[in-house]
Amino acid sequence: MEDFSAEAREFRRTAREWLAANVPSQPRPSDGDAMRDFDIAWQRRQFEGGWAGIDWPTEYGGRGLSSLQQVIWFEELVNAGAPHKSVLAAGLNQIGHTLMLSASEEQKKQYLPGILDGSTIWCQGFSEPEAGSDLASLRTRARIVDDELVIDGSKVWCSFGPYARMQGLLVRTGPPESRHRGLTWVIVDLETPGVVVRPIPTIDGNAEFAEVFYDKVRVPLSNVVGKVGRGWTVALSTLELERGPAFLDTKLSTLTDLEKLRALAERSGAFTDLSLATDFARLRAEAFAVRAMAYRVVSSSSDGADRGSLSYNVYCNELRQRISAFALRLLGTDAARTDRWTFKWLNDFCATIGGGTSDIQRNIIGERVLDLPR
Amino acid sequence: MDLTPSNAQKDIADSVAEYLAAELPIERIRLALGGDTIVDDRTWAQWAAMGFFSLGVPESQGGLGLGLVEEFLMFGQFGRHLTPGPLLSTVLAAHVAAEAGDDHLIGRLLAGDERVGLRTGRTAFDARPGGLVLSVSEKATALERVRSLTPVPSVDPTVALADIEVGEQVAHVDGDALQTRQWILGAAVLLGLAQATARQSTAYAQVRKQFGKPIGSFQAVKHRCADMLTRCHVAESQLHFAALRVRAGAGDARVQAAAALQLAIDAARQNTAVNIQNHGGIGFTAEHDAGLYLKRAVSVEASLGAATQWQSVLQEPTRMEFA
Repeated sequence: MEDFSAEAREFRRTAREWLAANVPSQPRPSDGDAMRDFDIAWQRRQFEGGWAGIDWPTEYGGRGLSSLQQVIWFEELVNAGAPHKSVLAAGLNQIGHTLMLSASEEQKKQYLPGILDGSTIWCQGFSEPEAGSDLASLRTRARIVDDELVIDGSKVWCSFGPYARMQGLLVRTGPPESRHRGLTWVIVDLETPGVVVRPIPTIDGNAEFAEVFYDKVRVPLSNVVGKVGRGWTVALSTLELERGPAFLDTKLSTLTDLEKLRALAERSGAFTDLSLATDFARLRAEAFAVRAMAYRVVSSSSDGADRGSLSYNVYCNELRQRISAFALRLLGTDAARTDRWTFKWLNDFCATIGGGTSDIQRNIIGERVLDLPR
Repeated sequence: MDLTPSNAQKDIADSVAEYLAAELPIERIRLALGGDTIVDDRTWAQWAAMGFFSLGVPESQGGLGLGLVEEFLMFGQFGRHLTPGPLLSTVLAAHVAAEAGDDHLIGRLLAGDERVGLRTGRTAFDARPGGLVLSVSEKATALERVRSLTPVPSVDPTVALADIEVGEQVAHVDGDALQTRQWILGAAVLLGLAQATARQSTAYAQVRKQFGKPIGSFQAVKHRCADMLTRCHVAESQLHFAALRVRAGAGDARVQAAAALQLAIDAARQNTAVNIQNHGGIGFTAEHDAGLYLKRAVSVEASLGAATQWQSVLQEPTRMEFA
């Protein structure tokens, strides 16, 4: 067990310095083209400053530094009050890692730099109307015709779909009953003829979600990531089952959210209600652990033991919801008004659904880590 | 930042675990229930010789000169193995004596000649007539002589509980540093209880069959086991991080320790309780160990005093110290 090294401290210092001078002074717009343009500009700025892809290899535009430095960057990002939600999130947190793990060298060179510099917005295409938690039952079909895939079907719950240009799509290339053995992961340009993207308004009032329809959409076979029929393995890496630090900025924002709530409670005198004061103390302890667990998950002296990366996701997602519910209690009568906390409260309901429901993740912890039978 | 114990640190924890499993298995603790001979003088002297009390005391004062990390790893094993006896208060007493520069007292404690109970208000845990008790607050940590002692029934049958009055103060150290240490070591014991019960439940869910299959195949049980594991990961990560911050004397050390304690309390309380449910009827019987873990968790938490002590620290406007 070791505290921060001199190198880590120095990295933190330079990150803090850069952020102090570069964090956007305007708040992030909450919707539409203005939000998209804001996100792209902020990502571009980080990229040009040398702060994008801290732990990505240098040949794909990253800094080639350690996972710990990536964690420190996210801590400083959150601490500086920098925007951490972004239409680029799927590319930065999911697709990018999938490509690094499973794509050909040519594909990596073609797509990874565009993720880091903010020029390409990505979304995932996994869930379907009849295939949610049971993802392996998906039915969007892809026939191989010459050197192309011809895709028919539909996808739902594609986060940032209305803004995305590219999609990581999971399709069935095997027979209808082939389950996880007959799937293929393919890159689709959403401007290809036959693709229709339809935004889905959500309970928080935004439309970051989309359903996507495919009618004889022709995609070159060279867009397949991994091999035809091996899409399940590729998708598992996208589902970040083994990746703790994904969306770490969102996870760590629980800490700064609680600081804001504490200030709010101080102004309103809410902590004279002892049940609120006690619950705040517990939430703060829980939020502190978000940071400690990040260090644990990226701990370099890995001995193959379970570092809790699966637990980490469930824990952080549910904690976000507890904090939002607490915020509403603090607000009292003001909870009836639409403001940033009520928006966050509504938005956080997706935390335990997207990327595999908490229920499915508990199954996976039980079966893969604890070796309990299916 | 590395939260994984080094090999040398693991070796210390492992050797304590091996010793406890061989010399003080739960079956032996159980046999001694009802008597006061669970930890006899020979055992206590053996613990002294093994360095249980001297691990974190500086070498210049006769200790082994190791740090808080080694100490809390040892206490984690005490929790996992349900080790009885006033270990936490005696170890803290050695720190009081060391910081107060009382060489005579250090000598007696490290030799195993004194067992120090813990006093929380008028209640004492594992105190002896005429012996010493430790009391801990944010202002000071003190050692006092027991003047009178009236045994009272204890929820945890492995802990001797008493109403006491104290006389002269033998030694004391001002400040909150030893309370912070108590939080770290107490959290380690509680985490050990949470880990032991998580393992017990998981092992049972793998083999106990109903409806023709292991009960661990049912989501109701599987998810409870998953949550037990998650609570351990959460509390353990925070404990390791907090211990490093305390060792480094960082500005956020105390609030990190408070968080570690709160999370360990929650993990121990919930895991030891859910463990009974996972075992069904057998878990409710006196012959099963599940009840011993449950009662120890309550007793350890109660011995730390009012939760407002660490919760008020967690309510303070400490800006997150990312450093």
